[in-house]
Amino acid sequence: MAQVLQALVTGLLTGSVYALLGAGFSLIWGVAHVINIVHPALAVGAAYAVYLLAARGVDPLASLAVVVPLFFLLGVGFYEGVIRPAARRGGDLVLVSMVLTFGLAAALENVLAAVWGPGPRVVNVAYTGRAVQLGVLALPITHLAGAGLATVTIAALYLFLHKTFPGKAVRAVWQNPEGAALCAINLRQVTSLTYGLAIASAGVAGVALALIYSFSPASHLMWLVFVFLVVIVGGVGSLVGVVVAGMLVGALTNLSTLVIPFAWAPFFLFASLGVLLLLRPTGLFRR
Amino acid sequence: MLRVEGLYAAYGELEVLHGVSLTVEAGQFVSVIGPNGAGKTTLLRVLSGLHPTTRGAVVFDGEPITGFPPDLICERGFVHVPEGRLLFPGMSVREHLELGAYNRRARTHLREQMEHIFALFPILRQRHAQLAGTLSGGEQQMLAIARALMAKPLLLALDEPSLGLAPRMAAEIFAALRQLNHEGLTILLISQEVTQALLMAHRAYVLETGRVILDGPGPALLHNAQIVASYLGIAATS
Ligand SMILES: Nc1ncnc2c1ncn2[C@@H]1O[C@H](COP(=O)(O)OP(=O)(O)OP(=O)(O)O)[C@@H](O)[C@H]1O
Ligand SMILES: [Mg+2]
Repeated sequence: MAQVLQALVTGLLTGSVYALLGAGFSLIWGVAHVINIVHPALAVGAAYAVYLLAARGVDPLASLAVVVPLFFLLGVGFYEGVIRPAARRGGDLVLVSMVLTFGLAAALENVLAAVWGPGPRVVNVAYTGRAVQLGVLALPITHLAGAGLATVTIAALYLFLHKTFPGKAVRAVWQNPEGAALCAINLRQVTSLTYGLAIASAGVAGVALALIYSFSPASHLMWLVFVFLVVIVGGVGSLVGVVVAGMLVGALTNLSTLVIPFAWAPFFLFASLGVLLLLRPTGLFRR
Repeated sequence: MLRVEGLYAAYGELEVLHGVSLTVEAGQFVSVIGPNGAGKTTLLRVLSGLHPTTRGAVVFDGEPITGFPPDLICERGFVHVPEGRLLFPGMSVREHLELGAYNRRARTHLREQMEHIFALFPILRQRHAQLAGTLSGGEQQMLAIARALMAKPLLLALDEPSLGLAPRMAAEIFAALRQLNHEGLTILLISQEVTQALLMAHRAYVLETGRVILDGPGPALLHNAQIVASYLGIAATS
């Protein structure tokens, strides 16, 4: 029983990182109509940045001060420099951007492998390996820090989208771009901002990931699988759906490792996804 | 207030507006009527920047706005209540009103403008926290108009605001438009409700297959035999 509870709680903690990655991914999908395959690869890139800084004595949480603004600018630059020109050239943006971002993900993976080698890396900090004891539960401090980071970022995204004027404009463009344009909302500005925020959130997810997991240049593929799972279950229409789905996927993955070998967890997840889609073809949260 | 000169527009190779010209003076109520497929919706979409024009000029409030993007045109005060309403289904009534006032000119007057709109459409005050997707058709149309009014329009352009509404609801919408016009708002109305649209109009235009074939004071057009034959005859029986 204690074992199940432990698996459930750590699953929920790691699930918050899935949720954060899924949130940024679905923001980009909803507003820019781009399937941003490179999203998890950028998070892994951020994890390597954390690794680099940690080797120089910078705490992962402090590295946010570099990662967040850098990734925001990267997102804006990527939209303005790559996606928008591609969209203006016409054609099927969904397909074009998928190929484009897939290519970028592969390129990034190769660059990381060329610099650091293909093997896994771990970020070691003073509190690595220590845990907070809570009754029968032992919660690693790195997990708590990573999950806290993801949760705070998701909450900030939610407040931005629901309580500020630019955030409401983002939701308006998401729900009806022409209606938004008729409200004097500049679609280009909003999309640019959305891209910046989403990529910045991928950077934060990378920092959280570096705290919790080991990572290698290729691990973005595994993360991509999780992101797809999360957005399929949660639907791409709402942040709340994505967050619940992230927690669910995290918890299920961890619980499944109690009964099956870890390497089989994705299989178990896809099997449950298959059943879910048969029962509810539009996802759990589709309006 | 608005001068449209020889406007052309196309979908791909298919040209659907062939040199439309019309004028709307400040404070006027102007109606555009015409059969299905005449190009009424296209005309408004071109005017508000949602659809490109191939040739022609649009002058609004003394300045050319031809080829401007929709956000700039709205900011200038030409505000479009589109066919199909184009609301945000997952956002509340209040959020629609806030977004309506997104442009800098309107945002500073957000509170008082919202009060004004709640006075015009009291049902929206009751429904202020409700999501647009859960409103009735008539309420959605009111919300679409309200959202546009929040932008502080100099000219309000509406595309078939009574389409699909119960007669009582349609009458309420027309009454609101008449009141707004009396308060000094310039209105450009597209409507299939020919009698209503012509009765209210200082000036009316009949659009057919992308051309203006007739124009004049609304009530005078109502007595025009051509109109009676081609629209009212049909409208009365349908
Ligand atoms: N998206 C589109 N692609 C291609 N052709 C279109 C498109 N929209 C409209 N058309 C064509 O353009 C012409 C004008 O259409 P438009 O919608 O402007 O007419 P309308 O007067 O608003 O008609 P209705 O009274 O049915 O709303 C029609 O022949 C229509 O078939
Ligand atoms: Mg139409």
